[in-house]
Amino acid sequence: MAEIRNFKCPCCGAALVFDGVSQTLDCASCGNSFEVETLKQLDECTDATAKESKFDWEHYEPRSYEPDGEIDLASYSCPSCGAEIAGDNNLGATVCPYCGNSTIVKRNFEGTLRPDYIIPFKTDKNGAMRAFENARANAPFLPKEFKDKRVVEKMTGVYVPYWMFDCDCEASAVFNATRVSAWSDGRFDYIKTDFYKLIRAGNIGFTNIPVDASSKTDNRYMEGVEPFDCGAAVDFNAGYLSGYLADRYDVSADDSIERANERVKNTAAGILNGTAAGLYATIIPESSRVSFSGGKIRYSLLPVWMLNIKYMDKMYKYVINGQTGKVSGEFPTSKAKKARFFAAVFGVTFAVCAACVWAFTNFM
Amino acid sequence: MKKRILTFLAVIFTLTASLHLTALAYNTPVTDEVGYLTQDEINALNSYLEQVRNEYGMDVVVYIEQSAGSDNVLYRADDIYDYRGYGVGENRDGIMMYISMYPRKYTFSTCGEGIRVFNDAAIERLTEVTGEYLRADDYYDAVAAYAEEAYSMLTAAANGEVYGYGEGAADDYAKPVAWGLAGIIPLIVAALTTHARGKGMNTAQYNNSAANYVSGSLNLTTSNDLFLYSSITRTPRMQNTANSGGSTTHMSSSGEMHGGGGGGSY
Repeated sequence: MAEIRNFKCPCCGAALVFDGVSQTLDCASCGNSFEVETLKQLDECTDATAKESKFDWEHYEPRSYEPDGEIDLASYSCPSCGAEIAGDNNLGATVCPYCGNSTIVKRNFEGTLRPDYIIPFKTDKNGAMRAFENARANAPFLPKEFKDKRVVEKMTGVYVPYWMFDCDCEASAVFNATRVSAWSDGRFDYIKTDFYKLIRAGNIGFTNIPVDASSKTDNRYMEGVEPFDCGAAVDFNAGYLSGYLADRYDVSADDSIERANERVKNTAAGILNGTAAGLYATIIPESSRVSFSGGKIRYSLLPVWMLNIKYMDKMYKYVINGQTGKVSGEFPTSKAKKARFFAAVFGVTFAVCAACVWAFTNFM
Repeated sequence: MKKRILTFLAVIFTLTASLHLTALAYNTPVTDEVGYLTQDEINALNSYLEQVRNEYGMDVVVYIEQSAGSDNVLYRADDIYDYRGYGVGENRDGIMMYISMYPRKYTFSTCGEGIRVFNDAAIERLTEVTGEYLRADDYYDAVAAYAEEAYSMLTAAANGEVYGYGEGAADDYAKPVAWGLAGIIPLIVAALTTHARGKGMNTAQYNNSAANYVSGSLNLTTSNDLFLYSSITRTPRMQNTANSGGSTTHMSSSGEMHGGGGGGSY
C-alpha cells in the first residue's frame, strides 16, 4: 500500500491541501502554494539530514616503544604539575614546560608508547623568540613595562602528543536562505523576500586533523598555534628528540574522537555553505549530517616551543608553533592603553558625526 | 389678489431667509453652542477666518459644544466636520478645532488638503499654542491663537514650506535626535573597535574548523535550491520634499478620510 504523506507548510507549519485545479499544495493558513515536487524533494532531503551523523573510526592500537640506541632517553617529572616527560638524557638543567617549575626531577627512562609520526622542529629557539617578540609588538594594549619588567623563564622545545585523524566523508546539509529585493512607487516602499531551502551534498576528505592528546596543555593554546604542515611529518625516530622534551599522551584516542568529529562536521557544513555564498542575502544552517567509515587515527608528536613569563607576580604561558612560529597565548592588558584607544576612536568618530550633524542642520 | 401676492412674497422671503440662515449656520467658521465666546468675539473671529478662507481656499473653523457624547472627541469632531459640510472644494479642504465641555477635551480634525498642510507636527504645534489658554478657560485667546497659527501655517505652505519640514517643530526634535545619535554612534563604534582590537591580546583560541586539513576539494554531488514562497512588506513612503507631510490619517463614520488628532484634556 502506498504511503500517504501529509505535507506541512514550510512557511507556517499548517497542513497543506492539494488543489486539483492548480495541481499545487495550498496552505489555507498563510495563503502560500507549493509545487508537489518541491515539497517531495524537501522532505527527502530533510529526512536524510535529520538522521544522526555516522563517525566510524578504526580502533587505534598503541605500540610500546623500546629504546634502540638511537638516543639516550631520560624521564623528567614535575612535582608541581605532575607532568611526566621523556627527553634527551643530556638535556641538562631544565624547567617544566607546562608550569615553569624549575625543580623538575630527572629519572631513568621507563618506557613509553611509540608514535607513528613526528614533525621535526623547523624553528629554532632564536626564531621562536623572534616570533614571540613580533607577537608582543603587535599586541595592542600591552603594558609598556612588560618588555622590561617581565622575567622570561627558560624556553623549552617540546614534542606534544597529538592524535591525527583522517577520513573521507559524505556530507549533506540543508540551509534556509533568503533573497531580498526592494522597490518603490509614489506612495509605498516595498520589500520582497524570497525564501529558499538549499540542499547540498558532497564528498570531502580530511587528512591529519590534529587533536591534542595531552591533558596538561590547554586545548585553546594548542589549537591556537595551528595549522601544522603535516606534509613535513616523518616516521618516528627517537633521534629527533635530541635536545628536546617529548610528552606522552594521557588522553586516549577514543576520548579525542569527539573533538575530531566536531571539527569535521563544522567544516563540512561550512564548505557546503560556501557553495551558495554570495548568491543569497542570508544563509542559515538548518541541519547537517556527516557519514564515513574506516576513519584512520595515528599518534604523532608535533613540535612547539613553550615559554613561561612571569610579570607582576603572574605567570603567562605562551606556545609557539615549532614549524611556523605562530604564537598562542594571552598577553597582559594595560587598562590605561585600552581607555586611551577607546577615547581616541570615540573622539575621531564624534568629530566626524558632529561635522555631519552640523552640516545637516545648517545646510539641509 | 393682493393678499395672494403678499402671501407669495412672504413665503418667498421666508424660504430665502431660511436658506440664507441655513447657509450661514453651515458656513460660519465659528460655532459656539456653549456661550464661551461673546458675540463680538465670534464676529471678529468669523471675519478673520473668512478672510483666511478667501485667501487660501481652506476652511479654518471652530466648533464648541456642550457634550461630545463620548470620550472619543476626534471621531465626534470628524462627524461634525462631515455632516455640517465644512471644507472647501471637492476634497473639502480644511481644519476644525473642536472643543467639548463634557468631557473637557479638545482636538483638531483635518480633511482634504488640510491633512497635508496640518500634518502631525503642525497639529502638535496647534495643541501647544492653544492648550495653555484652554486650561486657563481663556477660550477666545485659545481660538485666536489657533486661527493665527493656522493662518501662518497656510502662508508657509503656500510658499512651499509645509510646517514640520523646514524651520519649526520638526527641528525641535530632529536636532536633539541628530546630536544624540552623534554621541551614541561614536560610543558604539569605539566599543566595537576596542573589543575587536582587544582580541589580539589573546591568541589562545579554540579552532572549531578543520579547513586547513581538507585534502583535495569538495566533490559536490547534490546542489538544489528550492524556492518556497515570497513575502512582501509595504510601508508608506516618508516623503522629504517641501510639499509633503507626515500625517496620520483615519476614516470617519461617513467614510471620509481625516487627519488631525492632538489636543487632549484641558
